[in-house]
Amino acid sequence: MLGVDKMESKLIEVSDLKVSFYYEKGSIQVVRGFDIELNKGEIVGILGESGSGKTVSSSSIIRLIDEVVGRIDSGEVIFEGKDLLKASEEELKKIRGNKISYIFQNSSAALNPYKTIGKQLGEVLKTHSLTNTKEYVLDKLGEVGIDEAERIYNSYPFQLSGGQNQRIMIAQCILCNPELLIADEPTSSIDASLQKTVLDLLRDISKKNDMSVIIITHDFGVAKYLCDRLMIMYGGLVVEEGTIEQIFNAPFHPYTKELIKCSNSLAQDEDIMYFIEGTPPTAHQFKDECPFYSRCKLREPACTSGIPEFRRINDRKVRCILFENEVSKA
Amino acid sequence: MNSILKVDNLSKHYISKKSIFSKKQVVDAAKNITFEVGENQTLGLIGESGSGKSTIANLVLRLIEPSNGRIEIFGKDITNLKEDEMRKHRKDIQIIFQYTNSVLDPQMTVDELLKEPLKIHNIVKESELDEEVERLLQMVNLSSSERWKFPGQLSGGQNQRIIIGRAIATRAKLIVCDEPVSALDASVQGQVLNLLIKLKEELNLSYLFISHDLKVIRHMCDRIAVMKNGEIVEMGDADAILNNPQHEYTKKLIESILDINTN
Repeated sequence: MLGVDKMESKLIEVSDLKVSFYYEKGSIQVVRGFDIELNKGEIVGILGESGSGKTVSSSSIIRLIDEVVGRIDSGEVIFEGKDLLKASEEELKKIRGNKISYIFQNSSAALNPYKTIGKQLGEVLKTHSLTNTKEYVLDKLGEVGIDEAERIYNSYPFQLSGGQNQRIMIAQCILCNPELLIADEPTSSIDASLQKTVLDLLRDISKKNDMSVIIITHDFGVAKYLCDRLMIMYGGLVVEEGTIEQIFNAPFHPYTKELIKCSNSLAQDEDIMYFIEGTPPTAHQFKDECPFYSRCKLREPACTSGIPEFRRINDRKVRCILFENEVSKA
Repeated sequence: MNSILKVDNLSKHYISKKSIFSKKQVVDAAKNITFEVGENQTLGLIGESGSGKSTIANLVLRLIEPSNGRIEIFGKDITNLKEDEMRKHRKDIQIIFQYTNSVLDPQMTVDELLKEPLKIHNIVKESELDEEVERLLQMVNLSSSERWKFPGQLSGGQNQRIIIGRAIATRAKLIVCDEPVSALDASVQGQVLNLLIKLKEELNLSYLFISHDLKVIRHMCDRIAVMKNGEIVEMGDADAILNNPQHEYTKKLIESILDINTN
């Protein structure tokens, strides 16, 4: 019975997603393996450095990759029993913004500078054929913590602060009460003093509406504060997945271990900051081997024979050959 | 202790008009700012966006003109220097901006990027340029092999080290660091912070350090000034402010920090 319950509460299941971009000499795969599962109401973080494939993989979930610049090579995105990668553009339009919403990284640039807040929020409702009343919009503005909703309703984005625009972006995304909200670095363009408020807001909305959230971040603090579960990305691959406690208290992957060491070093104000030697690979440097090989202190010759599999170990997953052996022993 | 930078009662206001009929409104971007940065000292500026941190950086560098007040560098008043006189002093104060792909000219090699400030300010003889570039590369922990590369071929951390190399090329004594690591990946932030501390000791530098990350501020700064709405609301010893903040706003700011060791 437990299994059945689990099946029913699963909202979205992405497996083995691969995405390529075109360049002068052909195409290059930037996401080489992205898997994510979300239960209803769950908050999952995707953590990785710039260029690790966080944004590309999450925006591919609702196929926001422009056909001119790139393509989804393979994978499955099962949402409500349907594969979104096979859905028609018409079907997708009904899902985007309605059932799955996306908060872009630079919120001030994502809002239309020529339209008042009230007008652009109203348009979202109109597009999805929902009743567009001023009361409803004001209500939603209140929900995201906008105090003078009436004044803001008639304002243009440039008249508002970064924090207010970020809240409006969130209001716009929850207008249709989506099942899933994908938030790409929702706090990176706003002030540190507002960070916690925005994260609290996302958590409150998630709880209240039983909404699932995928949050993309490069900040361990943000991930630890908000998420139930965490996926670590490196070199276009998910390299580790686990609950917040598992990742922070007992990381498996050498990269996760090193990254936590860097973060702790700063938090504990050590005299000499810890850092990982070398730099993350860019897509052009991707090879058929473990992406962390060149920087890894535990590397072995076997690490270069192909990309390690993303293996399940009990209730978590890791992509490292050190754990392949452990599993076979057990 | 020698004073490197002294700012006295400095203000910058802008006049704004909502429409042609409405009354003029004065917006204070910086109001009666007074502080001093001593030799080999780091003063941190913290505060929410729009609180005036970058306005102060721009005023100190004379990139914008103050409305009131006085700026002294090495005891010399530079507040009203004309542009051509100011240019002689530009080599003494340098800035490291938040790293973006647009800070370095993508069409210049590392070699050219490092030679540019050396030539503009006549730091070394033409015949010594190559040697000097090698010395700078070494100082910022980059290998000679990076010298002929373009910014696009290097990582964010490597490019930020080139930007630091350009700043120290002019033998500047004061460097304004405006969010120097906040755009860098977590795994390499520490490397850049270590470098900034090493250079501070080796070259006897002073920093005016702007960051929204209190963990970075705590690591880097001797003293801190907390800004809100264009004013300094609290200033003092870094440890004292972070461990025992007096002003309500500072308390709020410190509470809001997401620390991975707590919560």
